[in-house]
Amino acid sequence: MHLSRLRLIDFRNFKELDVSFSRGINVLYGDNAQGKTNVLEAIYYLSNLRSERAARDQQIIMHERPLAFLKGVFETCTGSVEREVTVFSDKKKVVKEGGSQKSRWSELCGDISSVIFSPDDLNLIKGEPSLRRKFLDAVIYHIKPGYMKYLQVYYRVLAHRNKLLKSVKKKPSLSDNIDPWDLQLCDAGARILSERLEFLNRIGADIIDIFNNFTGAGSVLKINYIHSVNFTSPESIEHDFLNTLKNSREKDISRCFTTCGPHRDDIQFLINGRDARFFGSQGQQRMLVLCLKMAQARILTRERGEAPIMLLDDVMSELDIARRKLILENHDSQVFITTTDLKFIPDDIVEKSNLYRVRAGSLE
Amino acid sequence: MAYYAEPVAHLIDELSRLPGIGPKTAQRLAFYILKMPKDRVANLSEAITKARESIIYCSVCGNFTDTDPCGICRATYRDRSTIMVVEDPRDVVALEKTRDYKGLYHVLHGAISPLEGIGPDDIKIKELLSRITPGVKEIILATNPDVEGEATAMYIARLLKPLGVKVTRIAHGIPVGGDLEYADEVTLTRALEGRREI
Repeated sequence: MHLSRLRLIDFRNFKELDVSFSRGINVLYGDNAQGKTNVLEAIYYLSNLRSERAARDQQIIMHERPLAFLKGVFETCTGSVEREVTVFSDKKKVVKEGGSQKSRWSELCGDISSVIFSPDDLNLIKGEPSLRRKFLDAVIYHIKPGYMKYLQVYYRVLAHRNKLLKSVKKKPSLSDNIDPWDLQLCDAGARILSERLEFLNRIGADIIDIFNNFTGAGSVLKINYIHSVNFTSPESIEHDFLNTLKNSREKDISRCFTTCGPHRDDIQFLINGRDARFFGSQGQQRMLVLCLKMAQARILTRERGEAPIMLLDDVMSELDIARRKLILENHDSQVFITTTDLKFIPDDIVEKSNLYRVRAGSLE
Repeated sequence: MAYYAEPVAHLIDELSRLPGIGPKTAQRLAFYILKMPKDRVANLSEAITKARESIIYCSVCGNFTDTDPCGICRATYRDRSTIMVVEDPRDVVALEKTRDYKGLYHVLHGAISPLEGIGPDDIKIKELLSRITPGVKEIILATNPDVEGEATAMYIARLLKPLGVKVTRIAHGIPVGGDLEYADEVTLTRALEGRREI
């Protein structure tokens, strides 16, 4: 699948843009603050219907403008798909596909997807456990949309339980009321835990494979799921979770929150036995994030039969030539890459790429 | 600047406090009322006042009624050994429309929801327990299939178990006339858990 045409009106610093792209590698180059990343953001927005960096949709609208308009033409194996999104400053965004308005994800073409790598993603390794859980959860629900429902139920039950724990601390006689929430928490939690373990197993193999390609011999990567619930077998997760909750109830009441469960888990990356979050070098951490994103693209390709669009924001400058080539040559999909200077892109790759110069909100 | 004369603004304001009525609908209703013949307006306001004044909670099941006990609780032909527990009077209406259920009801007027500060003592659970007499054989828990309804059902089930009465929960599953492929995963899992032999 690839994006063949992109049209933007009043999106970030693009007053009006209409540009065609082709398969393969598209290089966006230009000085800082010209709008390179904004192009990637627009492509990501069209495929995922949200921005990965704007907290609110309205932030993508050009300053003091009433709305932003984005349109992309995607060529999929089943034909070309025209998707339009209009983001308003004062009301809900409108999504159209093939000219008709769509209100649910399931009505949209499921073949369109993209994976973005930006400098901020370093936090995926360096940052809080919640970021790693979110990454894994997103990998799962992009492939199994039903997983989302379990997450929603789980977090709703968790919110109820935590609120109840606060009341119990003030009024201990209420502690009888916790049981129904424990049961529901375990039901949804066991599903989440077993899906996470299964998917981490699958994507983990890809991550390690990509990592080995990058680093060669000498570095060994190991991935662990750190769970707060100890279970004896996959079938007994629900039962063991319930027991763990029971045992930690007193602690939970005194601390007013649920201290065990999938919402407290983490994913640990060990390079040569040392936790990359704390002991990895900046280069190792960046490489690891890149491996995660590429593994995500790989698993999406395998499950959907269409490779996602790769959006690589400013990754080249920090990698050596051999690795730059590895990243860019490894794709049968469409790749968008930003750089401040073409010298960061290996010459033979520049030759077969489409080059776009980004200058003050326009593309040449 | 005021767009409306004060009494009109007041009417719109009151109407827009009703559920499902936004400012635009409230405005439309208000202007419609202003154009209605005076006697019909009197009928409407009388109907509202009368309904509010004469409707009370049934002292047995907790449903809205104008006579106490309510029509359902008084009906001699109904099966007094079965009580269906629901969250809301509207659920009684929905179930009555099926004409399939001949037992009695118990309306909780809500579900347990710590986030909203609603505990077991805030809904009519105590009243339900006082209705469990030796003549009652089955309690059907028909609270909503969301996390709050589920917690309420589990809580009540645990209270009732020691009393030796049969406690059942309505089935969750695929809607009749629905498509299996459109059901979400959680619903399908529940439907599978609740499967029965035919």
